Amino acid sequence: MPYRISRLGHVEIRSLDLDRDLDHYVNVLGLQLTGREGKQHT
Amino acid sequence: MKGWDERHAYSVCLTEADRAGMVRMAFRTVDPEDLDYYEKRLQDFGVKYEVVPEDYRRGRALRFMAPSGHTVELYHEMEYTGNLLPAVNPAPWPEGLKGIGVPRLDHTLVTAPEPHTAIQFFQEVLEFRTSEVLVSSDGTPLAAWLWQRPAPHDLAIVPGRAGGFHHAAFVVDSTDALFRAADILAMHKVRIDYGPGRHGITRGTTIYFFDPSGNRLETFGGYSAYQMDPDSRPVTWTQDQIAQAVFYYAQELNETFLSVYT
Repeated sequence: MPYRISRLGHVEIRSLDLDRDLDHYVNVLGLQLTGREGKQHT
Repeated sequence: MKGWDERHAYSVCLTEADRAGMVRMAFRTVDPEDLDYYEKRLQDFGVKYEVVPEDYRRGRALRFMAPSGHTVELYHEMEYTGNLLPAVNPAPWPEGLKGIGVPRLDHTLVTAPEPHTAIQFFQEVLEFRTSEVLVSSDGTPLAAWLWQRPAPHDLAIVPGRAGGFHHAAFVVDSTDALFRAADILAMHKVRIDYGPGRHGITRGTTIYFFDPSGNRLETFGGYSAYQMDPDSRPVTWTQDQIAQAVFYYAQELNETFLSVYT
């Protein structure tokens, strides 16, 4: 059986407070912020 | 957002909402044609799906609801940004990372009210292979660790509420990095749920912690895990050994593992 999925590409996670949580993901976890759109996008 | 060693535009999207949890998980296919292959399989299995023509910096996707109650997407095209290193003569890692500085998203673990049904869906329709399975005394799968890369898991399913998000895990690539991650979490007063420790299942090292909204995250040390061969057969854990399967050193589950998730 060939490999057809390379990886878990992305997850979308709900945040109760975007600015507060971005600080956690960027400054504690250390992810790179690559873009931001409004308050929400679908 | 993405880890420094990820080559596409993003691996984590945060969306402001009135409750914590997962909006969706999205798997990237190896080739563009694999998307057509899966579209045919969804049709053959009678799975209702929609085609999302494009999304933020991403091409066409197939979106459907898994029996676990999770929105799942399959896609191939995403803007290729490269990692934080030059493509020619790169250094081994970039300087100036903040915090833990995780290189990559690794896997997610979600909950399902009828885990065996959800496990079967991912095995049969999406052709996930199984690395490890936790079975009840009558042999029914209660939880499974499923893979597409030759790694212990890309997705795991455990019993719980429909649509529940147990955690998303990010790579740490050494024991030094594991303890450094724990130090950084503690420096920032992050609520650590468990660890540093090791899982019996996958053999990976772990720290579970919570983001400020209460979503559980993990630094997963796949460096201590194993590689799967294409024909590797599943390892079985019996329900009476669940504690050591999950937390190998503690040999008991903490209060939160099976009860606290978003």
